[in-house]
Amino acid sequence: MRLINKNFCLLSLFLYLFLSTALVYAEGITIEHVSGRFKDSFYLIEANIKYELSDNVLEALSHGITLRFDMIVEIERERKWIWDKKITTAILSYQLQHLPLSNNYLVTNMITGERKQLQELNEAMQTLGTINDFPVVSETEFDPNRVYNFFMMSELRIRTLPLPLQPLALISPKWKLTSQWYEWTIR
Amino acid sequence: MNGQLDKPELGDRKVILLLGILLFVFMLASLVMMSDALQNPDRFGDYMSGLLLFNALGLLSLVILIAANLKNLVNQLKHKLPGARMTFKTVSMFAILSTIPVLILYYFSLNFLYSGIDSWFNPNVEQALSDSLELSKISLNGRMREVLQQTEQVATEISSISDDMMPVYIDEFRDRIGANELTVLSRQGNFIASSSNANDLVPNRPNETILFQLQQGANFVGLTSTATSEFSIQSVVNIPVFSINTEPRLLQALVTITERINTLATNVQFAYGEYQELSYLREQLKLGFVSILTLVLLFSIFSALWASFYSATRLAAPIRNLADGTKSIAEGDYSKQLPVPSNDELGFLVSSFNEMTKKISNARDNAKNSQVEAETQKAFLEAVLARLSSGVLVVDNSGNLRTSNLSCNQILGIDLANMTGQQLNKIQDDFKHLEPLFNAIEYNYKNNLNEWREQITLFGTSGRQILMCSGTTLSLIGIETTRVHVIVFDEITALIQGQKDAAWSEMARRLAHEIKNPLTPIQLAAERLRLKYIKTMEPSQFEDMDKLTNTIIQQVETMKDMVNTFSEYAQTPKTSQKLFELNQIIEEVVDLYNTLDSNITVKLDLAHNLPQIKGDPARTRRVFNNLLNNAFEAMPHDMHTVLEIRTEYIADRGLDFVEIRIKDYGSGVSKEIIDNIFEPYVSTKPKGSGLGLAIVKKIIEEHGGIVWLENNLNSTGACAIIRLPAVMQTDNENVNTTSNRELI
Repeated sequence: MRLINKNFCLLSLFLYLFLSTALVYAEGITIEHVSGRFKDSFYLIEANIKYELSDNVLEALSHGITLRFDMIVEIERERKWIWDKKITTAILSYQLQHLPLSNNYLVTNMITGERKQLQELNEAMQTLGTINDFPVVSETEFDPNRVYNFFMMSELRIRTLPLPLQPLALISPKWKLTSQWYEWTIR
Repeated sequence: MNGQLDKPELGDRKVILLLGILLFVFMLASLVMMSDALQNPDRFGDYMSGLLLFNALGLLSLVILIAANLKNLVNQLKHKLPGARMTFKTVSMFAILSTIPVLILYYFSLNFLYSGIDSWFNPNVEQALSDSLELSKISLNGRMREVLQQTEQVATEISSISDDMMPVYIDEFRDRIGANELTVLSRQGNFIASSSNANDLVPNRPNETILFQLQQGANFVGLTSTATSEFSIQSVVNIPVFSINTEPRLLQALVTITERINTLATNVQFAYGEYQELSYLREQLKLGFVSILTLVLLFSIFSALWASFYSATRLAAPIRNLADGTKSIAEGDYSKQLPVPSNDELGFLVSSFNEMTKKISNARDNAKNSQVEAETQKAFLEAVLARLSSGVLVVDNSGNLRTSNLSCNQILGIDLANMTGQQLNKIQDDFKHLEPLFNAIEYNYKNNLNEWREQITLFGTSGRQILMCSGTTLSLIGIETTRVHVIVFDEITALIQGQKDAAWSEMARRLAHEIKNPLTPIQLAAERLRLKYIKTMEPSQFEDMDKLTNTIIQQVETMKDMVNTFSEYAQTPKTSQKLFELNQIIEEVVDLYNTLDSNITVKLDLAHNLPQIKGDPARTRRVFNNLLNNAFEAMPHDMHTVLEIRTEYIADRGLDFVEIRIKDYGSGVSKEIIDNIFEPYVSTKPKGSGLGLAIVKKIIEEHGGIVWLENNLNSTGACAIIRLPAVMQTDNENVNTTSNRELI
């Protein structure tokens, strides 16, 4: 009985340390503000996202590792009796890389291909975090009589990292840069 | 306890084994998956954390299992349980055999891994790439300074041109410095005029940081890439203010570097970036491989350790069972049957053990039966001995009391059963009255007399006892042959006394009958003869006749008295048994003799603590009468002498009696007759009947006492010594009870 209690305590401690560490580093990306509007038959969103990269991620970036950040927006239509229906999922991807020759940071919008070269990392992070008029879904998808829930989050895509880095990044909490889900509703 | 292995224990062991194997398989599978994920994260990459957690938990479980086993083993070693040392040695051997090769393999694997991965990278290449990058930077920096100077020059030149006229001149300036784009902006970044050789409708605008820097008064030059990934030099400078009314303006020039330089710089940047990335990933790759390798190492070592514990425990189990079985047998449990582990040598050993215990059990049962039989025989013998009226003593060669029966206690008056094993000498010290018996026993066994028979007289708490003892020597065959001496004795006091009394009574009765009858006719005849012829006789004959007939008559009277005395001796008087004070009897008797002879003084020395005597006071008084009479007759009457009478209570080491000493200072008794002085017809007096002391002895013996006569050592005279058993308080009570009963 004593052995079981000890094991249980050890397991609890291990899980606590593991989860608490993961939670601390999950706050590296924070969605500060999101607003949406209909324009030209599209629902466009604007958002401010704060990116705070961990030391490991910064080190990788300075060593030429290209980082990809995905901003994921999910839209669900509320239903009374059964679970909500997912309307669509929109993903806006950005790529961040360091240019050693110019010592600049290059931010690339993976959808439009638009590139921005910035002298400072803060500028690059600000560029990454500033979403302007991102068309999420066509207006035709919306029923004016229904309620729609929007969920937005941003994360560092580990699977796009170089192969040798992925296993470590998959298990290391310092690489788990994921924001909380940000929710808002349209009635 | 049937000796079989408990089923739950066996079940637990199987469950532990099954769990261990499952854990091993799952951990192995997870390690394979982790290894695969390391090379191709697409397949198991999503489960990497889960796999790692599982492996960590698995390793933790193994550590806990090992720790529990280790703790158990330490406890076993501490308590010196059987099989613990063997388990320890086996585990140690297994651990060393399994750990050392794995550690060696781990060491070399790490070496190969590090050297293998490091071999991909050449320090010279890295240095060359760094140098190339630096070279490119220097080259581009020179060009950038040049562009900055040109831009600053143009800015100075166009400072006097108003905003409205600027579009007219700007193309010329762009062509002059060879810029792709030349833009005049307000300080806030608003376009004033722009010239470009591209088809871009909107000119490039400097970002806020650059604008802020310019607002601070510092010009900016930097390398930037265009949408087509080509490098271009961006130079932004403040246009000098021409007049006070002129707004501060900025001039931005974008100069594309030559294609060749652009290509080279791009290639250098790409190669350097790739190499940097690879160099960085090298460490990550090493870390990943080392992590997996370490996990595999820990998994292997922990698995091997646990397996070694399990195997050692299983190996030691039959030994432990054997030890338990041996312990059980040592404790007398012969029913222990051990589980046969397998068909190997240990199994054979355990089977042999089981066979042995079975045989021992059978032998034990047989022995037990024999023992029961022997005990039955012994009980039978003891019952016989207990009911024997004869006392039976068994003494070994060393003089230790081995056995005694109940009759011994009854005859000797002590509890010999509690003294079994004690030396006869020691018992004799505590019970002095047994000295004659033990001396006889000791004498006989020390002289190796196999068969002996002897009559022994004791005087103890129960008075005088005559024992008829017979002894023999037996050899007991056991672990070693022991010689013991068996002594059987009977108390024949009453028998002898009875026989003696009967003989004397018969003799006295016959004597009285044969003598008394003719005495009366003789006496009558003599009287008649005297009466008839005395008157007719001559005076000279008269005297003779008178003298002779008187003599006949007197002698007949004397003979009659003697015959009466014999009759009295022969009769067995009805004695009353009651308690009386001996001192009182003595004083009464002495009072009769006190005035008999003025030359004789009776000196009394009577003990005050004298216990009462049980018997007939009248007959006891007779004893002292006879003794005092004899003493007075034996003492000289022509000189003053003393007759000493002393009573004493003696209670010491088994002795408990009252002793009376009557000491005279007469002529004493000759040695020839002193031993038989108490026999009938033995007398030192010429006129004595020879029955006075015999009657004394008879009465004393009727009271369980003993009497003898001793000549004084330092003076003339003799001393009659009487010992009578004292009556203890409990006896006193019993007597009272008996008296009461008689009264009722």
